[in-house]
Amino acid sequence: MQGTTDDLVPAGTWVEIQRTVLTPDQRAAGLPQETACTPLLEWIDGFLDADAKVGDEVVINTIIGRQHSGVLNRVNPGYTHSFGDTVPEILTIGTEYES
Amino acid sequence: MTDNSYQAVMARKNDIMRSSLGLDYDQFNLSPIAFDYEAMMNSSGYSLEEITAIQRETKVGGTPLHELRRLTEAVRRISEPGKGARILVKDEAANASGSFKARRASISAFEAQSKGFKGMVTATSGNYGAAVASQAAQRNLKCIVVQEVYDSQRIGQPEIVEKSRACEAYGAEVLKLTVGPELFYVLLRTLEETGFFNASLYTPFGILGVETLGAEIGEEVQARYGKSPDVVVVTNAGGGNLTGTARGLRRVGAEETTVMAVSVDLSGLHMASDTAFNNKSFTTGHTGFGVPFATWPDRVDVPRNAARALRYMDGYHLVTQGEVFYLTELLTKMEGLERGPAGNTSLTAAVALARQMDEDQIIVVQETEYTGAGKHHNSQLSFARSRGIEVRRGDPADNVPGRTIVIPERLDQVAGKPLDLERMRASYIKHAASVLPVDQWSEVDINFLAEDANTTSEHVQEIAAGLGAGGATSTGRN
Repeated sequence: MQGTTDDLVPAGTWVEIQRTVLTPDQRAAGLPQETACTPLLEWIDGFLDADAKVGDEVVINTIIGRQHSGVLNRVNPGYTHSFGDTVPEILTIGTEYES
Repeated sequence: MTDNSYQAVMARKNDIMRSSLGLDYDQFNLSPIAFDYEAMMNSSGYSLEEITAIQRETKVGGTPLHELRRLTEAVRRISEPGKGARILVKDEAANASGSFKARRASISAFEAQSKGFKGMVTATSGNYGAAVASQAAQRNLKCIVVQEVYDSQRIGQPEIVEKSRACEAYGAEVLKLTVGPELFYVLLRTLEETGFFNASLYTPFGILGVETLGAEIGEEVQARYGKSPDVVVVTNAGGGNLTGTARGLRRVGAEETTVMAVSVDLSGLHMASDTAFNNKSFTTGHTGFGVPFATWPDRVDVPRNAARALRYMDGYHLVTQGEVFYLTELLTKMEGLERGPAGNTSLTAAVALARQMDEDQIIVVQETEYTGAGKHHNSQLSFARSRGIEVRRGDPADNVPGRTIVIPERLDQVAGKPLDLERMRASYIKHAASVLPVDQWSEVDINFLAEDANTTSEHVQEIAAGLGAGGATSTGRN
């Protein structure tokens, strides 16, 4: 799905941008160390405003018509979450194997 | 140019909130601690009938109340003679967007539309996002959902990734963030940029919408069985589900019904930790929200939280992740209802509690939620295993949140454990003392705290005196 940096992504394509909302030094006080040392990152989907390549700074128009800028990260971003690999431990619950 | 630094935006919090809610909270304040809770709850002026009518317009409420016959029989087989209450479940997955959260979103959406807002914003990683998106769609409002989805390696909790998908499916713009409480900062900035309505879970609208759930349960049980339910079990996170349900039960005369809070025990896992984030196999309905919100409700995105669970709970029961996964599978196999695991938290406690109750008593599980890819117990267990978490069958007492998920081998191992309400009250009173020193409390404060902690003013003073004696009182689990 993710294009290479050489592919020109046409304006109007559904894409995902990434941007940094807060750098580690801008974050809230009192965070656990493992969180405090990372930036607060954000991803947003929308229609690409102008032709660009993955990695370029771009503008998108979201599904409700708002504009956001950020780095072009993915093209046609989708969802791949699933029901997961079968977990055999639960298969027999409530069956004759465990009556 | 507007200063959008973290500190500057947080400093504008109150102004942003006021304009995005259309509700002035100052009018209810009595002191730094006390406020007129009932005046705030009644400020919308909606009757139960009006709320019901609003909800019917957008496919909310009137969900089926099922008797779980095979599960009840199974519980009776492992109980002492004469024990084993009848277990009912309110199938809230039948609401538009698949959970009881539609009830909460529905009134906010109606309010936003009535007041002329062009859209709604909410910050949530739970079912509420999809509920707001679904309700906004039906009211022709724009919707933005701010979500904590990924850790810093961009690995997403499958349950939350599914909720991102659902929000986008209903036409929302979704701002997907890494772990951290600055979700709230992004919410504030978004409210400020858009001028949209703040569809907070914790406004009076968010709670009024759940009152119909308690009322439906009370009325339907009364009509079918000739009495009010003996116990209603409620999955507790932010407290709104419990507050609204309890208030709804009271509205239809079910004052004697015991309202039990239930959470998945995730003690030991820090909620703002980038590394612990994906080691949780439940993203809501757990102690990481349930306990701190019950012991200090006013930690939310509105000045005064309408969800005040401690005020309404008669008991609090904890269950383990493994126990809930076991019951989720059992509900599917025995009762033919495949539902999401988080919604089965209270079902799990119901089994343990029903064993202690008489056969002629009734216990009601007041919600279910939709299931699907990501939001499924197999997804969560498979994900946990991929993270190096041990998954096995055995004694659920051996569960260690974030390390080991032990799925019971038999129904009689499903027990959970009670959480001491006295410790919760003590923690709550201690929080109040940090807002206003005890020696400055007036009678109004003490009476408010007594109502809010569901106890007497004398007992509030006893607990407060214990704090003064060097903090011997337990601080609770927060």
